[in-house]
Parts: sequence; structure tokens; C-alpha cells
Amino acid sequence: MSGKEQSESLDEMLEMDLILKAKRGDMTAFEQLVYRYDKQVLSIAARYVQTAEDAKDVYQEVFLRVYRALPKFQMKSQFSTWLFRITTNVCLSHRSKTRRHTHASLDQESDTERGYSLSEKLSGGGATEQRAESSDLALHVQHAIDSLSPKQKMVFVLKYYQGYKIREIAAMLHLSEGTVKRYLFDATKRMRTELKDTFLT
Amino acid sequence: MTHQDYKDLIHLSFLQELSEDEQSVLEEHLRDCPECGAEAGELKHLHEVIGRHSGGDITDDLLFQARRELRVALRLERAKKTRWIDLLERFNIMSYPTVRVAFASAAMLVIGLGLGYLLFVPTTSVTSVGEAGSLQGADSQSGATKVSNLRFISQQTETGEVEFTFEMVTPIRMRGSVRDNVVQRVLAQALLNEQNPGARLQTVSTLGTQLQPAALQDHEIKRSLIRALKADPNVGVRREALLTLQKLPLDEEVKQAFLYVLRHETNPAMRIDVINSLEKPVLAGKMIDKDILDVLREKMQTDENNYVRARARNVYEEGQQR
Repeated sequence: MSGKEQSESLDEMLEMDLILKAKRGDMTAFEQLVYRYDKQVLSIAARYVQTAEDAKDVYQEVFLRVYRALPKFQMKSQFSTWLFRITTNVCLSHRSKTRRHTHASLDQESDTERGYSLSEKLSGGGATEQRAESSDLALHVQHAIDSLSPKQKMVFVLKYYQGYKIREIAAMLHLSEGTVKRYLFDATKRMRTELKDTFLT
Repeated sequence: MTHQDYKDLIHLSFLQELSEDEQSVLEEHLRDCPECGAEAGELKHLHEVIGRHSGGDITDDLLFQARRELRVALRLERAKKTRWIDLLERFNIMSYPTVRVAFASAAMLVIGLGLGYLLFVPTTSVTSVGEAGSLQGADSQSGATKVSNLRFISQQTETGEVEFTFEMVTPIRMRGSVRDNVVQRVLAQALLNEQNPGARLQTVSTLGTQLQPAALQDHEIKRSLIRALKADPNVGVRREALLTLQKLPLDEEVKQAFLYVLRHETNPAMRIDVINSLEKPVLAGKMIDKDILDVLREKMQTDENNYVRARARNVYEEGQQR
């Protein structure tokens, strides 16, 4: 057994230990479990939803669902797969809430403003002259991503920005690998069309 | 392969999802096909544009805010649960003698109604088995019973008589104290036969946390735990069984199980745990068994893991000095 395999195996046992303790109501163990994955959860949420506030809502909803469902978690799948499945479900359902909200307030807030606030939160600073050009690109790309269907968008975010393998995405979303590929191809096609005039010429 | 197939491969290539063979097939095709070459060029440009957008990651500030808010939400969630528990406890405290009599009467009435219902409402599942082994009047709709593995042995077309075998499984819901002997027996059996590793893990964990060492000494439970430790395919179940068995005195049966794990377990952390258990007599100033010393000597020379070898040597040397 190589050193890497040994440390993975120890890590797996440590995680198993945390899950068992958290299942019995140990909050410290639950927090440690959260801290193992929460950056990835927040990152997926931030890529998927419109604003940093929405991303935090998704983050909180995901871990509250995990907290409630953990006593029933049967370890049939990896904890991470289960967690990211919950994350994708929350993102997909959150979108519809945002949509309702967006329809109600379209007059108050333009697409540009919404996209800008997200990219600003992601890069962690205010707009400067130097960032103007890249922000413009970011807005167009974000706009193109937002034009995808919810599932296409989820698959696209998980693949392009989180770097998951197609088989991992399929496990998270309960889809076949073929379906995930199809979503990716369709998403890429759509992105090409959306960005053609501005950046791909 | 068609051009469309190659275009799909180009997509997958940019997503780093191609095997080496597929990649070389694609590269060979791209050398001779201007149409697919143009597609590859466009996709490359698209990926560059999307890649440039990836920008920074989420900020630490955002992460800390999210964690802080989550902590508050979890506290509220727990308080919600506690309020229910408080309510139930108060319900108990409030049961003054008169109230208790009223509740007892109401409970008796409910039990009486329940018994009456059970006794006088005709049941649909009649399972009388005749002498010839045929099932008369069995209702296929009854309960949650599942019939499987149906095998026909014979059938008479003239009389319409058929003979067959089948397995009938009825799910049973059981509630009882884990200190109850029957519950313990069922759990011990489940540990050996349950397919779901999560259920096996929970079974070991329940036995380990709820039972005193004296109860764990029960032959059937101990045998099940030892079998789980030695042969369960899931490392989590094996580890939980080890943790539970560590609570027992190191008698011959447990010792042999630990030595088996030390020899055959593939997970080094488990082997280290076992060495730690075998060290206990040494730490208590007792003599260490010759069987244990033999296996420790073998492991300190041959184990593939440095730390296991070092721990085995350490305990072996301490054991020899006794």
C-alpha cells in the first residue's frame, strides 16, 4: 500500500468516525464534517446563484438539511457524494425562488447589476480601471451561463468551475454519464452562441 | 466514426475526459480533417474565454460569514428539538395523581378500543397450511409480505392442480431495550447477515455503546462481533467491531481475533489499533503471552508499514523485558 493510499485510508476512517459521532448528536464532530466540505459547497453555490446572499442561503440550507437527515444517512454512498447531491438539489430549487423574486423586481434591478455584484463578491474587491475589461467579460460569460437550463447550468458549473469528473457529476445528480455528457455538449453549444458576437469573433 | 463523433471527442478532450487511446485517435483524425480542426480551434477559444472568467475563488470573508450564520441556524434548530423534549418532560412533571388517574383511564379506553378492533374486525390474511403443503386462502394483498423465488414443481392441466415452492418474507418492526436478550439475538444475527453496511455499522455501534462489557460477553454477540472484525467487507464495520471488542477482557477468543487482524488486516490503522490493545497487559505490568510475542516479532520484521513495524518492535521489546 503506498503512502498516499495509507493516508487516504486513515482519512476515510477519520471521516467515518466523525459521521458516526455526528449521527449520535455530537455537534463538534458535525462542525468538523462541515468544515471538510463547506468551502466546496459555498463555491458551487456562488457559481450557481445570482448573489453572495443567495450563495450563503444555499450553504445554510444544505447543511441544515444534512443535519436533519444525518441520523438516517445509511452510508450506502460516500458522504461527499450525498452532500453534493443535496447541494445540487438545493441549488436547483433555489433558482426557482430567485426567478420568482427576479420577476417581481425586474424593474428595480437590471441583469448587469446582478451579474456585477456576483463577480465582485467572487473576486473580493471593488471595481477598478484595470478590472473593467475583465469584469465586462465576466458579465457576458455569467449572462451566458444564466441563459442555460437549470440542469445544464448545474452540470456546467460542476464540470468547468469545480473540475468534477463526468462520472462524479452523474452520481451527484442521479443521472447517467451519457445524460451528463449531453447536458455538457448542449451547454457548450449554447455558450458558444451566446458569446459568439462579443468574444469569439 | 462520423464527424459528429469526433466533435464529441473534441469536447471531451477539452474537458479532460478522454483516455490515452481516444486522445491519440482524435489527434490522428485532426491532422487530416480541416472541418474538425476548425471545430477544435473554436472550442479552444471558448474554453479560454470561460477560463478567464473563472476569476478569484470565494473570499474568506464570505466563508466566515456563512459559517457564522450556519452556527446560529444550527443553534436554533437544536433549540427547536430541545423545546419538544422539554414539552414532553413537562408533560411528565405535570402528571399529578388526579391527572395521572385521568390519563390512565384514557389509556385503558384506547387499549380496550384497540383490542376490540383487533379481535372483532376480520383480518384478510389467513395462512392455514394443509397437510399436503398447499396454502389455502392466502391473501396475496395481505400486509407487506413479499413472495419471491417461486418455482413450479408440477401442474396438472386436467384438474388445475399446481405444486410449487416459494419464499415468503414479512418485514417485522421491533421495539425493545437493547438489554433485552431477544433484541440482542436479532442484532447479532443482523450483524452477520445484513447486506447494508450502514445497518451493520449501526448495529455494532448500538451494541458497543448501549451494552455493558458483561452483556457483550454473551457467546452469540461476541461471536458475531469477532466475525465482523475478521471478515466484514466494510472497514468501518470492522473498526467499530474492534472498538467494541476492546472493551472486553483479553481472553483467548478475543486475543486470537486480534492476532488474526494483526496478521491479515489490510488497513494499517486497524493493525496499529490492535497493537495498542495488545500492549495493555504490558502497560499493566503483566506478562505478555508467547502467541502475541510471536506475531509481534513477525510483524516488526515483515509488515509493509513503517509505523506498524515500529510499534510492533516497541511492544515486543517491552513485552520481552517482563
